[in-house]
Amino acid sequence: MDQGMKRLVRSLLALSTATLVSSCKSKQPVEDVAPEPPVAPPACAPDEMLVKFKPTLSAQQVEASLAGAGFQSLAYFPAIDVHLCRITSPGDARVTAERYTSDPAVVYAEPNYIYKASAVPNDPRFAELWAMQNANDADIDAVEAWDTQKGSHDVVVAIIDTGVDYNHEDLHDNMWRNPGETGKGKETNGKDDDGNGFIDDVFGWDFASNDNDPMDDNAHGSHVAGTIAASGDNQKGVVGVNWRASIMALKFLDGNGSGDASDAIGAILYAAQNGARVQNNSWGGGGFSRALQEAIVFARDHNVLFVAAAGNEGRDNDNTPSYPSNYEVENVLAVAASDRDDRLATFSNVGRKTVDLAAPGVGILSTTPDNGYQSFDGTSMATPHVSGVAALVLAQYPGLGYREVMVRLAGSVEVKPAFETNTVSGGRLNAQGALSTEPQVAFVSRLDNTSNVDGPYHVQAEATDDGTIATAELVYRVNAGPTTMVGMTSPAPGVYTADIAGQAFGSVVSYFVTVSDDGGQTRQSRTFEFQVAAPEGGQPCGNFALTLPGSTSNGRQLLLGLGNLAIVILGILALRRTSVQARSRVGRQAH
Amino acid sequence: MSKHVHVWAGRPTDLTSRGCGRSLREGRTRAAIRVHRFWGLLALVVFGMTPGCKPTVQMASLPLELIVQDTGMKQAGSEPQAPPSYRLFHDAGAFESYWQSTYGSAPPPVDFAREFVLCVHQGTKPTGGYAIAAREVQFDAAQRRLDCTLELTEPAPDAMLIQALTSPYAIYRVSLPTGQPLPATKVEIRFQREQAGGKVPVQLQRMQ
Repeated sequence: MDQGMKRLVRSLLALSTATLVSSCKSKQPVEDVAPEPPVAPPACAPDEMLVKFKPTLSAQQVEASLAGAGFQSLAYFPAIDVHLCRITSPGDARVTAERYTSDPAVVYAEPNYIYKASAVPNDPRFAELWAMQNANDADIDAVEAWDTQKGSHDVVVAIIDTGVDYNHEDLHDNMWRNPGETGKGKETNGKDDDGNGFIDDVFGWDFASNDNDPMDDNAHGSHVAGTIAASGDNQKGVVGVNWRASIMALKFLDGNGSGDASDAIGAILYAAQNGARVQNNSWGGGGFSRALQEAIVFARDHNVLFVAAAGNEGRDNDNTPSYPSNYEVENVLAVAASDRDDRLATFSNVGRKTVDLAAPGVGILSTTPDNGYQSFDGTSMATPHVSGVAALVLAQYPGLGYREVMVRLAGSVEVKPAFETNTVSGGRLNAQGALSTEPQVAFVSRLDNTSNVDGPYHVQAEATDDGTIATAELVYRVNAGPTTMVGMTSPAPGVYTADIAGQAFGSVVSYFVTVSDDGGQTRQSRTFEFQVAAPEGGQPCGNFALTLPGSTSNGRQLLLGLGNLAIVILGILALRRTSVQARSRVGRQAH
Repeated sequence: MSKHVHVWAGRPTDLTSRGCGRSLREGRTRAAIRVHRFWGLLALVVFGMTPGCKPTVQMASLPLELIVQDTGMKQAGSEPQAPPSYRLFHDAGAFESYWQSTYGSAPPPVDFAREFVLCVHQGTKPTGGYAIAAREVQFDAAQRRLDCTLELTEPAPDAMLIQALTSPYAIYRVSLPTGQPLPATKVEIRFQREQAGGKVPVQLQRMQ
């Protein structure tokens, strides 16, 4: 995202906050509302500014004005009649320039901003990588991110796939080489030198054939690998999200792109035990496997992020689970596919509760075997963009845990209409944001409509920062009422919770979470909303209100069921009474 | 009434044998025999025109040679949801043009005086695990028709698959019997696949 767009987004964010506040008929002061997140000022020369004087002024008058203000002219651009001046007085150049603009002799004065050349690599097909940089800004801001971080060979990313062409000109330098199986002929000595249970596993392992050659016989795995870490700035082909990283090749899918659970489990366990911090899983299918889930838990317990494709059936994973992306393990990050116009790819699965974010997955150019390059479509192609950014984050912040990486990825998305209601984060991956020094907040509870009037409504969020999260607050407003701020407590590292008090029927509650770091930087989550509504069929009395969050229809069914049960019981009692009376009559007649 | 029911109930299993002229069981009533004869004659007329029971038509099985088979990913930018389709090439110019645009290289040699090229495409699929192959091509010169039996592979329900769009296809060099050149135009081609219970038709759209 360019600076202009960022300012626009921030302005809109501020506007939405202002709208939230201005419509509030509150007796509480406006200061109660979360402040607008501060905009980091662009860098500028500390003691310089650019000044344009009114054209009616003579050269002497200009000199006099500068001298009077304590400035010294360093250079002059006659074509635009602008002076570059040195500020001799102490203070912030921005403030000084702003103050000098009010001088009647000055048209404008502005700081001498410092512009850096963005890190654009010399890879010849870089211009075709729309996901890295494109004109309509549907890209992941890779170029902007590369100004901060280009990747590191210290970060190992496992490609659990069809293998990787480790000889490819654009992948070879970024292949992981098992340190325990390389050097002094260890590569081919037929021994398990590192004692990890695998012999001569230099680049990884082929679990489909159970051998040490994870060469790609399909092209899918090599393509995925290229998106994550095709060598950057090497004057060849393409560039990955990481210019450098260590790609661990773990093959479990055959040449036809198909594999089974036991081989997938083998690959997941191998990656976790051999140093991978991120596992890319551009595959899916099969039903729920408890063993596979346990393998993912094992990876989680080894602090490994498990990035998984949401699937290509164009369906809602909230209703029809797609594995492995639907496994409810804390380290699983599910990825949908976006196109070059920031729309949802026509084939992509979604899930308001089960798919975390979107990333570019249509027309993705990357590496294929035999030094080839091709463009493919799929959530398979979206997933490695996310894995790649996760690797960038780990290169920048090596000490992060998998959950902090996930908060950075999900908290920094660019929220887009196409993903707002059908993904957890509501947006598309943004690499620059994920590397930011600003605090990040994500995974805020999205409360469903409820018929519970007693409350409380529990809100949880996760936050991370390059320093320390100083404060986390829940901000909410009921209908057009006052804005309320509640300090959040932290029951576990990175986790923040607070409650919204119970509300009457008809209440519409909107809320968001805002976090601040120890440097004074603030970040605000998206705003969510839910309604407190009586179940259909009448307002229940007193405390009989059903507490069934997000399921008013269930509540209705339960009420109906209870009503039916009452009718049946009353019927039985009536029948019994009739029967007793009849027996009593018979008895009396017999007597 | 019960005889009618009997006839209808027996029809699916008995029709073929009747069509091939086998005698009926003894002991049936004349009415039943008349009904059986009627259905038998009808079956001869109807099924005699289908490939399932055609003893008099000679179908030449043509030698097939696989040029390339690909179960891999669909090239981005091509038709997003391509249907199953096929291509027939009778001349070198059209084949060379197609091959160049697809592979960017010179095509493999084909003697179009004695051979033709058949490409079968399975259409766009959401994942890996799919494949298409031609198992047999029969040529009926009199009818100017090709009958192609396909093998269509689909992933098992519990298979773990790459999540990229795929477009499986196969290209074959097909030899013609001597003296029976494939008509350049108006040749009909029908596709079928084998499955439990026999062959079933498969619809493939002809592409130019």
